[in-house]
Amino acid sequence: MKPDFWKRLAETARRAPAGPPAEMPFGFDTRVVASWRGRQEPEEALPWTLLLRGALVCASLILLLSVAMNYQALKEREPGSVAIADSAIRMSMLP
Amino acid sequence: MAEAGLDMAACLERVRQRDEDAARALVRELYPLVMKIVRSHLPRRTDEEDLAQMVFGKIFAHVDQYSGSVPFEHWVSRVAVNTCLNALRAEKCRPELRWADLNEGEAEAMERVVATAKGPDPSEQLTARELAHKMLETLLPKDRLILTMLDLEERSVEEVRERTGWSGSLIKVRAFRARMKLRKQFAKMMQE
Repeated sequence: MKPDFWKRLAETARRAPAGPPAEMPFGFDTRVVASWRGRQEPEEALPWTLLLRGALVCASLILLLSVAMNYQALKEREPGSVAIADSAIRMSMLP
Repeated sequence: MAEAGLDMAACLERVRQRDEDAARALVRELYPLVMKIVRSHLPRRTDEEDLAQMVFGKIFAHVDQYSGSVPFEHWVSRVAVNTCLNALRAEKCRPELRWADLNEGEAEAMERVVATAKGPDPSEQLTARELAHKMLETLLPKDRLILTMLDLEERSVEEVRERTGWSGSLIKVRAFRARMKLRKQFAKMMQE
């Protein structure tokens, strides 16, 4: 049977003394809590964000609808060639 | 230092109500446990404190999802193991270990592993541990995690299952394949 080198290595590695117990660095808990607080704030602001986003969508729809409804009127405001000719004829007929 | 006699259930309830003092007490209580897991599965070029902070970030972000069906420490261990696994996955390259990469002590330990049935001397235990971790770094993250728990921490398949959430058969199959890969790695290094 082939010798299991990994098993031998792992057995020796297991017997190695454990490192020093983990000492929490100063301020670590404060950093964790500050980061937790930082994440909470956007969550609390979420209802307002959703409301504002809805309002923006509504405003855009109203704008598009009003442009569509008044499209003809907006288009006719452009002085066409017929209108210019008509105006010129009327001017020439004036006393 | 861990606080003596922390009432975990009461502390968790306060944390759920966003009590920052309770959150600090929880960090102090769980720090040794989280750090032990982080140190066992720390990817190269990752700061252990950063990874521990990431683990605590996940614990607090998902504390509302803790149902209480298992002890809180088990749930924390699973979160920590999964965070380490994700960090290991993010480490894209897995270096191939060559004989030339070993330092003098590691090369001697390796020679003794091959030459004697007992393996390296007890004086070489720390070197053997370093070498074992170097060899594990060549494996896929999941394989590395499983072998670290089974072979270096001497945990049972059941304990690995509890900590990872993977099935027992998956753990056994992956461990078998990972050990095969390590044997091949040994053989390749010896040929160099």
